[in-house]
Amino acid sequence: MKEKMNHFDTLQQIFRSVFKEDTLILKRELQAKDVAMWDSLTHVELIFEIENTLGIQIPFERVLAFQNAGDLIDCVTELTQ
Amino acid sequence: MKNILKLLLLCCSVFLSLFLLEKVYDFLLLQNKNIKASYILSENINAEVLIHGPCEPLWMLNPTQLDTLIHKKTYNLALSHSNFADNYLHLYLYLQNNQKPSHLLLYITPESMDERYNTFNTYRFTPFMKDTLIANIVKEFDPAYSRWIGFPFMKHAYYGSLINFKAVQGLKHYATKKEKPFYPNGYVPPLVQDWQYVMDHFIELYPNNVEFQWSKRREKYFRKLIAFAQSQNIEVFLYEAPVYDEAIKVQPNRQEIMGRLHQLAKEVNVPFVAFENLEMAKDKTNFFSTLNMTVKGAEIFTDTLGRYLQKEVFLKE
Amino acid sequence: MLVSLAYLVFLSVVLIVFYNIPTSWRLFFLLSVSLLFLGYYHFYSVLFLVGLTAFTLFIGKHLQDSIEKKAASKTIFYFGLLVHLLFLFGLKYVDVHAQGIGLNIASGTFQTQTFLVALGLSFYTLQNIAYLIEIYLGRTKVEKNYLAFFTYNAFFPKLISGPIESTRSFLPQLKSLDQSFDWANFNYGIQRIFMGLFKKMVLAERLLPLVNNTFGLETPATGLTCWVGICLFTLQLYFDFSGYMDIALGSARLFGLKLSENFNYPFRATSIADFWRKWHITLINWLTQYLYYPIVYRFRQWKKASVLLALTLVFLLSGIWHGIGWTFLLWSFCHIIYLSFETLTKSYRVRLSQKMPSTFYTFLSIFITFNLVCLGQLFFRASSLENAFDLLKRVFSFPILERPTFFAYLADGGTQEHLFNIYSTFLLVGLFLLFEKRICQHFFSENLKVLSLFIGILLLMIFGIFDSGAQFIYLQF
Repeated sequence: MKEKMNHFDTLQQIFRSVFKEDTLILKRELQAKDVAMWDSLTHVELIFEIENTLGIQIPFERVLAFQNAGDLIDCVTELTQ
Repeated sequence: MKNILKLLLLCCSVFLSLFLLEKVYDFLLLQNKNIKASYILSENINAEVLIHGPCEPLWMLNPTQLDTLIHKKTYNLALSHSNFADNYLHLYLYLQNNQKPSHLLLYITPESMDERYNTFNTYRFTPFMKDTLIANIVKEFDPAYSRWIGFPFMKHAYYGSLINFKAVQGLKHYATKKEKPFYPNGYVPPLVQDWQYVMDHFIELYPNNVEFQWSKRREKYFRKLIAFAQSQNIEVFLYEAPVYDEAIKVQPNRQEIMGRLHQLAKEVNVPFVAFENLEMAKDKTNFFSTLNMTVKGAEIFTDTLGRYLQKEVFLKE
Repeated sequence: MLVSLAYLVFLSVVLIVFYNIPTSWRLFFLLSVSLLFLGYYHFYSVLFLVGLTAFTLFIGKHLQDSIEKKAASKTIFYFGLLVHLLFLFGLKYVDVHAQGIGLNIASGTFQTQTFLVALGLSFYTLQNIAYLIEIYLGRTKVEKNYLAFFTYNAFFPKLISGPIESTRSFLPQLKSLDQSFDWANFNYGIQRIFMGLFKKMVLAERLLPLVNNTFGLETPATGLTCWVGICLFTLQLYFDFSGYMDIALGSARLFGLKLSENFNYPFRATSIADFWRKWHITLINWLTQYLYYPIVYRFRQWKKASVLLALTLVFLLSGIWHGIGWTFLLWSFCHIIYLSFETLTKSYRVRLSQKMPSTFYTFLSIFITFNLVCLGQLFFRASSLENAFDLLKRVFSFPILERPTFFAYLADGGTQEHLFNIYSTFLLVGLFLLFEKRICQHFFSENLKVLSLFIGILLLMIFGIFDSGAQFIYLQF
């Protein structure tokens, strides 16, 4: 559980730095349309930062399937276990 | 059930409205004095001499100037872009409301027999589609249009861009009780006054000179027009106006076609005079295209034609 | 093709038969009439379509088998891809040109209709490619209902100019054609078709002569007049294309089928990226899914550069696909530059937007986006590079704004009748664009709007252009 929380904090940090919003609160329901800077470009940056920081590789099919931040969190959790 | 009723209501109201709209347009177009067909049907012009043909005579022969030379009441019935069928129907409409003229001056050139020049302008006849003669000729020239006119209002809608404004103008004329058109004697001064580089364009378009083609259909309607005039005891006088000199050089079979025209005139028993080699044809400022004359050129030619007619036609009668 | 009485009659007959035959026959019936429809216009296209679709099903089956057996699936996949790509580009340049479909750059003509047809015939190829990729990636299974798959490619409303459907959204609908006649679908369908006819016959056709005058070789227009004429092409293309889409979507809805939207009020886009999310959506989705994302993902360690690379490749390919010629490449370059600029300045623009009143910022963004799009489209429509640059030179030459002739140049001369026509065109187009969202939401409804339809039909009859081709519009071609 603690492990999961850590990921959550890390992810929030990454979200904040990629989307340049220091006050961004990561929620499961968070979608691209809620964040001004979240578009196809920053999405790639986001994935890249997550992969780099956590030392994982997110498969291409999964990248396309994310509907919101929750899907991404689940995927990261699954891959780091 | 409710949906079927709604659909029925829609269809009925659309059909009814279109039917009414058709009648309104019929009425408004006939009120528009600037449309020649409407004007000649509402006013007794009763000219003694009628000028007829496509756009060249329209802005070449000014009845006011001609009247002073031939001392006869003249009206210019010519219509821009018209072929002989178009001319024929306008003469037919004219005679429905006017006394027969004694003479018809008809402009004819090799271009008149070539389908590439001028056309049949269906939109001018939309209010008259009930007339079988008109409807039949329209059908021959514009079958696509004729297929549609059974549908209410479609006879006007089909050429809407050429009709709407005229209907609105008709409303204005009706409201203001206008009696005379903007150009009361039918003559329209040319809009353009300077040489339009048509020649240069011409040579570009037809690098291998212009070969005139002879259209059977044009000949057919030429004969019809002449026969119709003759049946009404109207004397027809055919003439060709000067053509800008330079143009003739790129038209190798012009003379050949002119020969055929002379032959045709003889066949239908009408005089034909070609005013081709006048001095004015060498001066570019008399023309704004190969056939169309400027105001200056038109005045010179009207004078020539008027004097000729007075001397050779009217004084001899 | 979709805008003709013949089509409406055809549609009505097909519709009546469709709802009166056993549900098990419906799919076969739809496929047969679709092939008849295509064959009527272009016989050989039927052979292409049937052949290529059968090929796709065959390759798909083998691909899946080899994946399941863990055998070499790569060769089969790339072979399937190659054949489709050959058709995609080959058909466009060899056959389509020979048949007179597509755009003829040599004679400098651009006919929106034939252009859309040429596009449409390529769309099922894209669908096939997508299908093979999906199987290759293991995201979808082979379609066992061959009849449904053939119909998925051939369905006549979308055959001509799209939309491109994915197997996920459209195929399941075809496999359950057991719906009974539904007034809600019927009302929506006919209202949508009417909207399409209105866009095409009134708005697009009325704009067409103005656009042709602007792009004609002898246009004397300068400054603002010329620019307005250039912008009108983008509007004309939109009304033409989205009008076709309305007819396609409306027709499909009559059968109870839902096709994907291809447009989403693109002139309200606040950036070029936004524009591409609202214009020709299904094609952009396809390109994004199967070209853009894979490239970006592959090179994601390059960060921004990967996006720039993907953008460049996607638009270059798209430009080449639209037609051979420098003008299409320039169109590509325009959009590559726009999108790269947007990508690189994103954070700056977000900060800027926070400093300005939001309405003003939005309005400004829409205005800039629209003009940039029109600049790109200039190259799309121009008959040659000289034509394009000549027009651009005119935009920047004097007089910038000459009031008496402002419309005269566009309107083929300045007679009262011409001006009357051009004013009514501007009024109709302007009002429509201004209230577009409201008008569409009103008409795209499952209730029959009797009064609105009544007014709409009268407007169509009065201001519509019916003699397209014959008299004065295509005369200039």
